[in-house]
Amino acid sequence: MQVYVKLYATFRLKYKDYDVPGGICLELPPGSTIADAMQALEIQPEKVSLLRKNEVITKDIHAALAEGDVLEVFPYVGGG
Amino acid sequence: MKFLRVDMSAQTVKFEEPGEAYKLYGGRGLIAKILTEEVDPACDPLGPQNKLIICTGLLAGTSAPTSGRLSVGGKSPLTGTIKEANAGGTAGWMMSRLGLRAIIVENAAPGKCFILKVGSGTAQLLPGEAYAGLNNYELVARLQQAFGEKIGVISIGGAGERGYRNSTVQITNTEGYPSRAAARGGLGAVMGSKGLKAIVLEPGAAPVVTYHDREKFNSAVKSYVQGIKAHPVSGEAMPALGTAVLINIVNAMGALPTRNFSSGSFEGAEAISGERLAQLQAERGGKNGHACQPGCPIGCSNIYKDEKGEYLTSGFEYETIALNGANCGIASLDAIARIDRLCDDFGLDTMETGTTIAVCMEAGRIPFGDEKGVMALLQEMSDGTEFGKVLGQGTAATGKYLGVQRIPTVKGQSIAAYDPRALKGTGVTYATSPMGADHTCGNSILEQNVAPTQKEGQVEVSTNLQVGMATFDSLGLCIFSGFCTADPANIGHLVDMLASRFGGAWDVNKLFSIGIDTLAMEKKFNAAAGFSKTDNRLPRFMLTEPLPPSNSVFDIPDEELDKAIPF
Repeated sequence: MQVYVKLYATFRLKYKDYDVPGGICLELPPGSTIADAMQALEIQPEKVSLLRKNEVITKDIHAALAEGDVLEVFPYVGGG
Repeated sequence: MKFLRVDMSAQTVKFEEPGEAYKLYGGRGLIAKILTEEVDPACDPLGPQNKLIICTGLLAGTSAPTSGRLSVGGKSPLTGTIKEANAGGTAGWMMSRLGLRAIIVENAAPGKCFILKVGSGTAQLLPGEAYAGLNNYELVARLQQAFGEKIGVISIGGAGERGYRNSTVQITNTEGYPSRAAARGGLGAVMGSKGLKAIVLEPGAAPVVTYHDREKFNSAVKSYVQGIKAHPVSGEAMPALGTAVLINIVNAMGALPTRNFSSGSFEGAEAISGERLAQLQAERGGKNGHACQPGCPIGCSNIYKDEKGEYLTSGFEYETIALNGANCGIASLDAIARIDRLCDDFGLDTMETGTTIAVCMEAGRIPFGDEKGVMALLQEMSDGTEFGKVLGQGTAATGKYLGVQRIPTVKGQSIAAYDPRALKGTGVTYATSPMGADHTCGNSILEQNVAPTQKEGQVEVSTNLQVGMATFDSLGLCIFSGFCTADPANIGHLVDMLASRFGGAWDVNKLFSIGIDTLAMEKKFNAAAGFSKTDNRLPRFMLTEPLPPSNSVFDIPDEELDKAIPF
């Protein structure tokens, strides 16, 4: 199945040709979880401050993904 | 470190040794101490009884990272409360090089215009008529021409001279641009009311600081710098992407003020994000990772170039971008950067300006998203038209003038770029801070244990943050250097710095007693100025109007708010 991962801040900087509106398209086996998607992108869960699946905030990295899901992954940021 | 007292009525200057009683007061804490001891809280903020205090923090002049922060304070003409606003730039560092802890500007020379020139052990009030009416960029260029390129400048533009209650005190950065601002609360108008147009600081010499144990101090500094650099925010995200890195995540949290706080999500967020800003400036030859003060190990500032690759502005920050962008329905970084430049030049608080403009948009004066309309309103402020003068009194005054119901202010100061319905810890700070709505007094954006929209636990979160921020503002350290204090080892390094600088027994309780003491003095000043707990409330529409997309309301009861900062 295909899922889309949108990366933000320093996570995004690792990809020179990052596609801003679309994110990264991942091909994952059916039944894969958010944790699997993060592992595929070498993102350590402890470095993630906020996750959204299909625009809904979630903390459950073991939640299953479905075809076409959009995952958004944010590292720790601050300022203002 | 000395105090320099400047009597604007008599046009005299006097250096004085502050004495032991002031030894452990700096920055925000020093401002609170001087104001509670020397200024009638009931005074007219723009009258001769008020004092303008410009000072450095307890660790100024040392190698402590980010210790060049400059605090500016007085009674605020915007809020009527005590006010401290602090900024980066070079002036704090230069004051230390001139052996100064504080410049205290007293009385007033109404209708006159002076320049205060300060050297090592010297100070002169010079006639400033030739500079009257100039805005900050031209003013600084002319002062550099007259006094040399290496000077530091603390100045006001036309807004401060006109007495606008949303006016700033601007400070030159490491490039000599007047782009750092002690922005909040209208302190530019206090400086203008004194008849003081600018303070010119000579470069001076290496600061003379005494240490109880120099070696231990250096060791603590080294460890603390390592802590700053190891933290993912101060060591990675901010140097790479600046404070605008917050746009996308605050948008994802549903807390990005959009179209006068009517939504927490803006469809144009990506176009005004820190990621986009960094990409754009890499293409144009601008700069991210810029240090606003010498020796900063974070470097969250930037140099912003326009479409032609020419300098447009610097210190272009999240709050400015969010409140003049999403909150005004504007999705163009270039348009917001032009607003920022005009605000720095004329001397307007970009945050108060953004919320004021959005209130005008809500009233139908101009449509949301109308970039040209915004520039026309800013021009009205600059020209001093009748409506321009209303705008210059800030968001609350403008909202009342236009009959707007939804006015996002607390104690007369506009809420910052986090909607408190979706970030309730920051909401408690907006409500209860002695400064009025001010995110820098305790922002819960990094809180991990209490969910942002849950109502339980936020009073404690805010109280702890407010103590921490008041402490940092008194040490004279940038609050961004404090992210690493989530690790207790780094708090230990701060304690070691204070012990080895000042001597005596220090522990974590004594460190944070600086913040507690400061907040207690500020509350005492406000109480004597006529404020009570009923002023510690958010605008009522935020208690009843659900904020899309979370549809959260601010539901922390008043009696809970009253338990915050119980000092």
